[in-house]
Amino acid sequence: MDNIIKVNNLSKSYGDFKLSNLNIEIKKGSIIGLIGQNGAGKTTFIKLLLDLIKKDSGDILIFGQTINNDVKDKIGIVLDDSFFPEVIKVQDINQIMKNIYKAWDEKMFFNYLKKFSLNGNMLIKNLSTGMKKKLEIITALSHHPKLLILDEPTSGLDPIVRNEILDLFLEFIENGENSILFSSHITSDIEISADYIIFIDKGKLIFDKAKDDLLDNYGIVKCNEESFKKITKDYIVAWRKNKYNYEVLVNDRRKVKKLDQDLTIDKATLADIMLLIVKGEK
Amino acid sequence: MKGLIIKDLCIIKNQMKSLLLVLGVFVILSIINKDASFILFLVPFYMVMILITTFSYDEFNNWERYCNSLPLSRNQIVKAKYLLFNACTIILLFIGFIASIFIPIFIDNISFESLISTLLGVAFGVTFVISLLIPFYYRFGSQKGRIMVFISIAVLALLIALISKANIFNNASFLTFINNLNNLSLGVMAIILLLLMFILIFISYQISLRIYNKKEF
Repeated sequence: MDNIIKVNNLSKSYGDFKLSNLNIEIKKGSIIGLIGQNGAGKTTFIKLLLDLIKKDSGDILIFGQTINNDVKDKIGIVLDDSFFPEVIKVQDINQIMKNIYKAWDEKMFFNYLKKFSLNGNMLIKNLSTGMKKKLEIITALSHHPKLLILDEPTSGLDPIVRNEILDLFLEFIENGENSILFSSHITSDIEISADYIIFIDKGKLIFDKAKDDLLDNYGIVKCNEESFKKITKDYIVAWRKNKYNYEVLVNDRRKVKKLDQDLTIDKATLADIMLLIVKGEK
Repeated sequence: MKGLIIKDLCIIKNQMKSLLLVLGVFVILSIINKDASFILFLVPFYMVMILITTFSYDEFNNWERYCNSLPLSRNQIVKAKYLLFNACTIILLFIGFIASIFIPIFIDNISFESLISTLLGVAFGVTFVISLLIPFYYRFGSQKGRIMVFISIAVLALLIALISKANIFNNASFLTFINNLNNLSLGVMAIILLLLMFILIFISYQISLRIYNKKEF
């Protein structure tokens, strides 16, 4: 069982929005970054995985099974909006989760609280946004899950907290058995930590690739019209005409360079890739 | 499932100060008025109000979506709410029952029977409200749900008013029916009412399960 998540032909429509025919496989032991602009379908995809909304068609297998309580027992969840009742205390979470997750580890939870200097006696409504997020992530980790599913875990946080959280993720997958699926529109976070990247736009899967492969090979060419026309079409992923030049996203920057030595090709960042694919033409 | 009940109790626990304050006012008022039925009447409905706030917290803190991502089935989530509401009702009934035994000892003009019948009436009222509230809250959310409950109680009251205006109560067979009810002993009445309450809750529970299983978060 190398695939921790396997999605076949998944479709769901919601009024105007349609998530169509997603096919995704997620391998054990990796961090998968789910990117896409706001409203692209990231949260819908995560909700479908967790059976929070009903799919129209297709199959979803997690740990080789359709979702059930045993599967959910092995997943740690962080959703985009904060979700703990505001009027309970931080330490109440322990009492609650102890009676929900079979493998809840009280000791681990309190160790994490200490590590992140969260005061157990504080009411959740008095925590800062960053503290709340940390508490949510700690909670997601404290029952020894095999898979973390996190929707925008780092949005709205300062760089220091984000870094601490990314470190937690790396620690979590260290054993090679655990996996993380996290969505974010902060592409730099994904660039730092993810092994694979799933890019969704307007409900469609744009690509599902290894990050290193993507960042190594993709390039941005900035050139005039004449040079643009000379680039072999097969290498062009997307392009955009600016006021003074063309911006072209190519999928193999070395080959393109070989064909035209005069071109300046920069490495593409995830943000570049996202921007050109979403805003550019094909 | 136990975790969910603990969560709701934690929510209530942390509002304890204001709850106790209001309860204190109730007690003082009933002592001043020398009227025990007042407190028997108000406390249970106050309890329902408090329990209902757990729905509002669930909604405003996005708990529902998270809760459905936890290893809990939807049936368990609904069951936890019903267990909480019913357990609280039963505990209050029990306290009321004990109180009904002792209050007549201290206050002369109140009998055990009159207190118990008040208590039964209140218990029925509370059960009725609960079995209406929960499905409405699941279906419409806490804002609209509240309005829908008010509307349905108003409609019910209107219906009863219309029926009583329609002179059904002067109907001979109905009068004998009422008379027969009067002749029933308190014990039999209690059993009938408890049975009715049980049926109400059961139907409400089934409806809530249906609503909740169809919900998307």
